[in-house]
Amino acid sequence: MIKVKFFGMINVKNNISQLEMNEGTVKEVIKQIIEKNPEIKAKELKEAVIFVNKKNITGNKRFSLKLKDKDEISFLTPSGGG
Amino acid sequence: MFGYAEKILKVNLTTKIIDEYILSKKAREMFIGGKTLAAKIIFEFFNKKVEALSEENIIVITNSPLTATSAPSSSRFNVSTISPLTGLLISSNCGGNFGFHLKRAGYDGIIIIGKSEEKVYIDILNEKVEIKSAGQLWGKNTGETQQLMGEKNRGKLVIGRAGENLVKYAAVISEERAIGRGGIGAVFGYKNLKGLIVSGNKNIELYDKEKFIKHTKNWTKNLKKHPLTGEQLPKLGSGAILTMMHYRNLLTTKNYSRGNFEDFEKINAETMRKEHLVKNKGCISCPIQCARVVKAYGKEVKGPELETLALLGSNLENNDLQSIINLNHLCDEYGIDTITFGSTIGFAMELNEKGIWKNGLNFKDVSDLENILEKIANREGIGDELAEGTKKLSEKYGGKDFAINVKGLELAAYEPRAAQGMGLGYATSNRGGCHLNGGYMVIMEGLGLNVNGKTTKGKAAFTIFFQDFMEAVSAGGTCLFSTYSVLPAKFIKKPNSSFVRFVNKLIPYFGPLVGFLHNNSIVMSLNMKNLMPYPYALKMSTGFKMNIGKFLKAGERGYNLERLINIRQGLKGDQDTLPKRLTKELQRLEDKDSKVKLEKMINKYYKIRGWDENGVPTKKRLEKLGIGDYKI
Repeated sequence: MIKVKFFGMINVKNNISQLEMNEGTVKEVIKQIIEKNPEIKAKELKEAVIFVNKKNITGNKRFSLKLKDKDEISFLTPSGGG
Repeated sequence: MFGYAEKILKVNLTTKIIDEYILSKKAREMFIGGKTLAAKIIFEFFNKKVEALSEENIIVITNSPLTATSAPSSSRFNVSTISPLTGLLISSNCGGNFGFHLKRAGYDGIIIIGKSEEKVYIDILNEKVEIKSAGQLWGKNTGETQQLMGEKNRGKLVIGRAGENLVKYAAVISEERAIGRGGIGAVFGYKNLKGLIVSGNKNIELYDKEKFIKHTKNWTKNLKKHPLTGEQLPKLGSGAILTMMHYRNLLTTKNYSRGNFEDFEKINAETMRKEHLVKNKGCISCPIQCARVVKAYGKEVKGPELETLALLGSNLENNDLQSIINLNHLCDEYGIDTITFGSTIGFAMELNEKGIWKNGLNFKDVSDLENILEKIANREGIGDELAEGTKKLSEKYGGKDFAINVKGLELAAYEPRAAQGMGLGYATSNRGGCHLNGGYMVIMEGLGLNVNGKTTKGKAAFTIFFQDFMEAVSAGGTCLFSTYSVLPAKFIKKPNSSFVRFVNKLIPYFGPLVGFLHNNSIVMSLNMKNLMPYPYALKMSTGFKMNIGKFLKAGERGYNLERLINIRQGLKGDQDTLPKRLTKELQRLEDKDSKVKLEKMINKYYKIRGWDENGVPTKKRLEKLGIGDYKI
């Protein structure tokens, strides 16, 4: 299973912190999330800052990255504070 | 004079003489208000080095032309003095309502001179200024002191036991907000000054009221619709960035030995919101409302800010959020800076772990910290040593390489080995290890934007730009959080778009252009009211010929004047540095770039600043800034 974590405004707006999903590409995992949690908008996740196993993935190919069992994907929003 | 209350009060605690400090219109135009105006006053008051805890030292409290107006987030006020922690100039900025009430009482500032023989506080009601006995207040915590002072609708500024006992990082508290850094509370305590209470009913005349109100309405609207100031800060507070700091290796952990904390989810803003938040609130005139109300000891109290979450959390490997909330509340009650407290404890824990100073303090164990905190406030036992701060401890016990301070002031929560610009900012900040006075480059280097934190390219110029910009914003009297709206919303909403990624990559290459503009600010003789709302607001408030270039130049002038005061206090260029842990030890062994490459940036920084190789502002630069006659 893939561990999925939500932070920042995605966490707040959807009142969700963590889920578990089946293996697949980032795109497929996002699709699974939306199917099971229709209140979350695909756009929110696609535009988020994404970390896979604590490594930031960027660029257009990030959605085709394959996630394996026990991998962790985190969705964050850029932030300000301090 | 438009925008100002016009009077600056001078209170001599030794002679009890109360009179006025005269300030010309030209001086106001050059130094605006807040910390830069305070620097001008302090520079002129002394002509030599002054000891922090001496009768000669003065306290300067200032507000600004935007204070007590309809400008958003404009209730800030500043307190400056010579710091007992660093021996250098310290300025500390605070929200709440004190600045508002001070202005309504008819004052742009108060200068406190000398030392009282008795315990006193100052009561200001319009023109009526009295020095009153604080005998019944002495020894009380800050909350009780403010209650005992009486009426609710007055501005109050008080110290707790830590200030009375000259703890080197004692804070001054107003409502639940802190003049936190640098031990200003100890200067109050040394002067036997428990605090001030102020109120009045004066109105401030504006240069063009109609245009000012129209502009500030639009400015407020922009803050409310911006994703950071309109959404994230109200919902999550200043701790909103803690999670991103963890992922970007920017979160101080275990006395700055790491940049990420495996238990970050137990102490982040999302968890505080879910498990502890009662409501959010904020300062007078602020549409952001970033402050948290949470519960401690069965009552509703201020929630911890980001710095406190990190310094009392990850920095101590403490994953117990309720303990952070409790300690934060107690720090406010005793009047103690949470940043230096957390950093000093982290350093003491590492000394204990390494067997250098067996003191019983251990990472991951905060069970005795409330007791330790009280001992610090009372300067009892081990608390007496801990009350001196990190630098003094390292001078006694060793461990200077991992004593995380710059010029004696402990660093804030941002681990700079993943953000070169933030590292340079810490090293050069006039206050010492301060993120805000350092330019807060980390907001570009991974938090709000995603500019490469590993590169040194362009960082010297950008650091200077933001140091001066934030200096000017402080002088104007608005909260630094309002500067987030300068970041285009698109960059926050769509961080993965091709355009945003392209700009992030390009930004370091703009360094030379930013450096050129810094040295030729006349080029920016324009007012872009939406992009940078401050200059136009100041112009409509005061009638000064203000534009972006003049505004930034005022910031640069202030920064240089503060530097001159520090040099007079004995500062040398080689103190513009960081502890070896941050410049020599890799944060992550697999990444050879994970250390601050200060040597690649510092000379460039001096050059753009117009300082010589020893970090002394050149005569030419000072003349260009209109302060050529300020000699040390």
